[in-house]
Amino acid sequence: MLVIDSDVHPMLADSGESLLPFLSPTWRERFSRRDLAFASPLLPFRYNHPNGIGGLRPNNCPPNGGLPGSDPEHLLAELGAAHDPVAMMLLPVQAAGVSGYANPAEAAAVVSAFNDYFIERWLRVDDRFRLGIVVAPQNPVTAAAEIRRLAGTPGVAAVWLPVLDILMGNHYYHPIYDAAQEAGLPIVLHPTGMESNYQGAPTFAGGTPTTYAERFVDLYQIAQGNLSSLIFEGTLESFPELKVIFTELGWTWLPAMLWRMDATWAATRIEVPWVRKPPSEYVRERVRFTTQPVEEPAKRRKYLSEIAEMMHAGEILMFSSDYPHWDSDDMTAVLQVFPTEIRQHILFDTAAEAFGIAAPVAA
Amino acid sequence: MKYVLGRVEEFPEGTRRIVSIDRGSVGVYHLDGSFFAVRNFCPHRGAPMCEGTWGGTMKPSRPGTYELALEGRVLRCPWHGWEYDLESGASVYGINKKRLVTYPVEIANGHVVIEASGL
Repeated sequence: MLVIDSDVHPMLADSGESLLPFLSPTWRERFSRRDLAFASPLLPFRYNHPNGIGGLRPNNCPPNGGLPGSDPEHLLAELGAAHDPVAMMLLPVQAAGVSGYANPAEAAAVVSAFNDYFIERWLRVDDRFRLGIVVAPQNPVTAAAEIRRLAGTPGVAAVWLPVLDILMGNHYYHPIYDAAQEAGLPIVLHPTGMESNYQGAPTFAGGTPTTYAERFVDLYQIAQGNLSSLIFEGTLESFPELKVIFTELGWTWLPAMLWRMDATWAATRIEVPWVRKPPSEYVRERVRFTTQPVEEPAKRRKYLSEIAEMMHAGEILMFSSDYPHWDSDDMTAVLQVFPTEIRQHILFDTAAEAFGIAAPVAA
Repeated sequence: MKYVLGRVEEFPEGTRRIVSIDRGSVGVYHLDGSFFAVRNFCPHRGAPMCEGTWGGTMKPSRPGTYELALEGRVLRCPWHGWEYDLESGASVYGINKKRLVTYPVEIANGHVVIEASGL
């Protein structure tokens, strides 16, 4: 079966020096003078993974050193042995960390350098790689310009929008959606690690968690808030071609949310008359989810298959490994869970359509 | 068959009156000179539909804008707020396939009369 891996995290091979050639002399001066270590932002984090290195799996370290996921050849070898994807969506988590920055110009410069770095050093290494370019959310107009700058670059297949504490349905992001829609690129929502870390970052519901464990479990809240915002603010009506991909934000919570959104809409449509059809229909048409992380109930195959049916997983769920994170389950176990009639959709078809990836021609 | 619900003067202009007949219940609306009769039953969860309010609603619009429409034509379920067109009984703007049962009304010899296959 053909596999697309919709969530793979490439890392810088060092603490940021390799990014310097991709910065203008002006920004190089700014960042090198500050000794800014892009790849090692752990100290100022509120939620450090208790088992170390930012939740990356130590057994995925490249043989020549560096962080797991920092060597494209090594990553290809490991994923090739695991599930041999014909395409991989690269989502650079280090770049998305800029959503914690206070300075919009600085954030924009850093994401541009990251985008150019991964285009140059990864997309050109292997044509199975696709890149989700990262935009800095602090200035939506600049972010839109970054999308237009890189739209059309071979291999660029999505836009990762690391959100602020402004929900995705808010008009604040409209310039970004406008550019993404124009470029035919889906918007990716994915945790950044900034959640509840900094003022201006998305916050967890009810208060501030104390531990990494709480924070990890509570991440679904961020997805839920943004999903209902996108639906009820009418974003998918305002941008009729836009697709949004919820990545590494789970999916087992979705059935209840679809039912609740539909019922609430039927009862309160007068408040949101621009929502022209049941919310679940918008989701089935233009919102997608990836398989990580996934719950591990006792009757895993039975329960997860039932949830998959409730949420129309054959239409909206896409396989992901989340390589090289380890704060998740066995990345390929999910492959055995789903009924055969929807497995190919989850493994390949839905992602191929979402990212515009053609099936490879048989040799 | 036909059911006589009462004398016309028992249904003043601008009001709704709920009438029990056999085992059923019918809401009669006298609005802007016209009579409408609706089975007092919401097809969603069986609420007494005609105990809800009536008025206008918002038509499907551009995000962030509101446009009043169907003034005086929309019944709202008292339980969950589902909205139906008073005359046709259909869910407004086709938002779902549920519809109210409505009955043709005629005024005969000073009485309000509906035509119903059964109540």
